Amino acid sequence: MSIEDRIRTLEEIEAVRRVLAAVGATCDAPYDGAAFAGHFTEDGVMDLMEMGVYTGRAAIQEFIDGMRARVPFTMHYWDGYAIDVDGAEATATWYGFETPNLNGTAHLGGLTHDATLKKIEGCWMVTRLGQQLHFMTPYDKGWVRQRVTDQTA
Amino acid sequence: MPSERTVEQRLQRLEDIAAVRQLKHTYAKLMDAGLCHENKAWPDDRFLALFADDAIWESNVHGRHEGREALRALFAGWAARITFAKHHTIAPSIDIAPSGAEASGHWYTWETITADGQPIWLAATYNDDFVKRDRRWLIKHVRSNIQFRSPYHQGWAAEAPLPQMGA
Amino acid sequence: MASLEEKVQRLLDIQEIRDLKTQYAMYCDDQYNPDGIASLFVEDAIWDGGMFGHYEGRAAIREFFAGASDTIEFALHLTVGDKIEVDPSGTTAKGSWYIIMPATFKGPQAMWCAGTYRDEYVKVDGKWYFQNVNANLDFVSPYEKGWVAEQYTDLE
Repeated sequence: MSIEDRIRTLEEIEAVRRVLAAVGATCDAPYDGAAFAGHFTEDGVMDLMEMGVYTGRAAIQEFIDGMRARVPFTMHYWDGYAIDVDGAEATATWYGFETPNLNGTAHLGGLTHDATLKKIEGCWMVTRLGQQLHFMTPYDKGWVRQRVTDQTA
Repeated sequence: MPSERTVEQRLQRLEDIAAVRQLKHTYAKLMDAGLCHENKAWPDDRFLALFADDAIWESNVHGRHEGREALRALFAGWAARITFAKHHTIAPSIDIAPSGAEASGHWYTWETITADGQPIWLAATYNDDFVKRDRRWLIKHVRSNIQFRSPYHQGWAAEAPLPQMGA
Repeated sequence: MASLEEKVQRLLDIQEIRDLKTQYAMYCDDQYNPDGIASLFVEDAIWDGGMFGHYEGRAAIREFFAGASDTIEFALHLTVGDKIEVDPSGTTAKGSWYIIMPATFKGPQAMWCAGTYRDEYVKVDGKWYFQNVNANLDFVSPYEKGWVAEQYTDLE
């Protein structure tokens, strides 16, 4: 690889990391559904497993903006990225901890995430965002006594 | 990033991002080592040397402190109460200004602290500014928005939300 | 003064070492996948985890991790705050990290673990490996108690 190619690889990894950081920050309270969905391609997919599959920017934005009513506070601590860039396509996996208040109770979420991205007109866009929920427990119980609180209710 | 920049400039930007990231991780590491130390003389000069002379440290909880001596007093106040701290610095996102002499960074911390003998969770976001002086990156302005600071046995839903600083 | 080539290589090395550490964390989450973990260490590597033991050589490290999921049924290894220094030779490096880890120990018992790593890495045939992993645990505490009431649980 030429020096230029190697620099480009590093720049692209950094760029993908930044996009994912922006995605994570915009689904923190107070939530910015438009900015969040704006990082997805027009036909992008957000697959939240038991919490549903949302296809297209409008559906994704609506879900994130709807969090304001359901989840008054949460933060997404996303890190531990593994990012692979191959030309104009990229894949990423990472860890996500969350601290939502659900039904007036502090919760602690432990997840892993995965995404595929595509570079379109110089911008990395998310084509698919997935998650695996390891626990979403009421803080006063912990993940052994109650692994998952039903968020779909 | 504009592709008309030279290879040298692009490399410099990547090196600056790595250096600012390293600086923030050094800040966390030295602060935690200082606060955890049994015979603490902290903040020491090594830690304060991470800051520009005219640096500002502010948060929605601690107010605004300007200049190295004010920072020394602020941190010494923490050292008097805190016997254990770990700043888990998460999701750095760093912008280098076109001049190459200034930078800004956003990140989260998830902290485990023992203060006055009690375990505490502290979660915060940071929006920090950095400046490069004599080829070295320094912390210019720390803006910490503390999201919750909760006793371990209570969790973060019981308290009223903390007032947030403007962007 | 490092050449352009050396500077780029240093940044790529840091990136590859970060990927190595992430791969390690993911294998640990995967029921401490012993073959996966062992493949990241050189033959004469040392893994030292304080209360979790001291193991010399890839075979001993593999054997330790093969039994680790008997004690730790579930864990998420969130590994952050890296500081990586690549030696000017470009063939060895040192790194430090923070880890915070929610886990379920045999019982089952929910646990919070946190600590810092001091690692040494070595590049063999163009690929980075662990030479030395030193995990210094700050607390290994039952969820119901926290790190003040019970900083280190009794593993027996």
